[in-house]
Amino acid sequence: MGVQSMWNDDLHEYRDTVRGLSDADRRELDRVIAKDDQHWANLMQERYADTVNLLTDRLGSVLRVCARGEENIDADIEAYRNGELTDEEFGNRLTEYSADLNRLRPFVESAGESEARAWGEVNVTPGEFQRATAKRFPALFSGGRGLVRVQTPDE
Amino acid sequence: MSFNNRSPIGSPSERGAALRAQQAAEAQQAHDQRRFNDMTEKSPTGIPRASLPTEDTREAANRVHRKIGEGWDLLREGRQRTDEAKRAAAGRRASDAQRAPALDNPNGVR
Repeated sequence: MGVQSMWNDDLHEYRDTVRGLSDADRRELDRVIAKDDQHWANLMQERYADTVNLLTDRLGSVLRVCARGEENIDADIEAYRNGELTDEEFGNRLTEYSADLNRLRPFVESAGESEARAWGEVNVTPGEFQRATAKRFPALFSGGRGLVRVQTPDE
Repeated sequence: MSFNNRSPIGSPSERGAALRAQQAAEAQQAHDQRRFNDMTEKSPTGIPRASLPTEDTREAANRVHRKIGEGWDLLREGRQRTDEAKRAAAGRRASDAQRAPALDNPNGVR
C-alpha cells in the first residue's frame, strides 16, 4: 500500500475507477471524499455569502441615501416655491444632487455583474473550485498542501 | 335563530375546524417553500443563488432622477418669471423716462 496526495477531482476519479478495494477501504475512501467535498463546499458557501452580504449592504445603503435624497429634494422644491431659495441656490443644489446620483448609479449597475462573477466562481464542483483556487493562490498548495492523502493499493 | 341553537365559542367542532384550517395553511406554505426551493438556482454543492435588491435600488435611483427633473423644470419656470419681471420693470422705467424726462433725469445728464 502506498500513500498519494490527491486533488479532489482526482480523488473522485480514483474512487470511480479503482479496483480491488475491500469494502472497508471503499467505505473509508467514501468518508474521506465526503469530508473533502464538504470542506470545499463550506469554503464556497462562505465566499459567496461574503460577496452577497457585502453587495446587499451596499445596495441597502444606496436605498437609504436615495430615500433621504428624495426627502431633501422635496424640501428644497418647497423652499424654492416659497421664495426661501434663490434661482442660483436652488440650481446649485440640483447640480449637487445630480452629481451624487451619478456617483451612486455605477455601483447599482455593477452589483449584478459582481454577483454573477461570484456565482460563477462557486457554481462549480468542489474539485473545480479547488483547482481554480490553486491557480489563483499556488502557494497554498505547494508541497502537496491542501490535498488529501489517500492510501492506495500497490499497483 | 335563537341563541340556544348556536354552538358555544370554542366548541370541539369549532376548534377542530380551526385546527384543520391551520394545518391546511401550513401545508400550503410548506408546499410553496418546496416549489420556491426547486425553482431557485442551486450550485452543484447546493448553494442557493441569492436575489439582490438590484431592481428596487435601480427604481429608487430613478425616482430621485425624476425628482431632480421636476426641480429643474421648476427652476426653468422660475427663471422665466424672473426674466419676464426684469423685462417688465425695464419697460416701465423706459416709459417713465419718456413721460417725465426731467423728473427722471433732473440734472439733464445725457
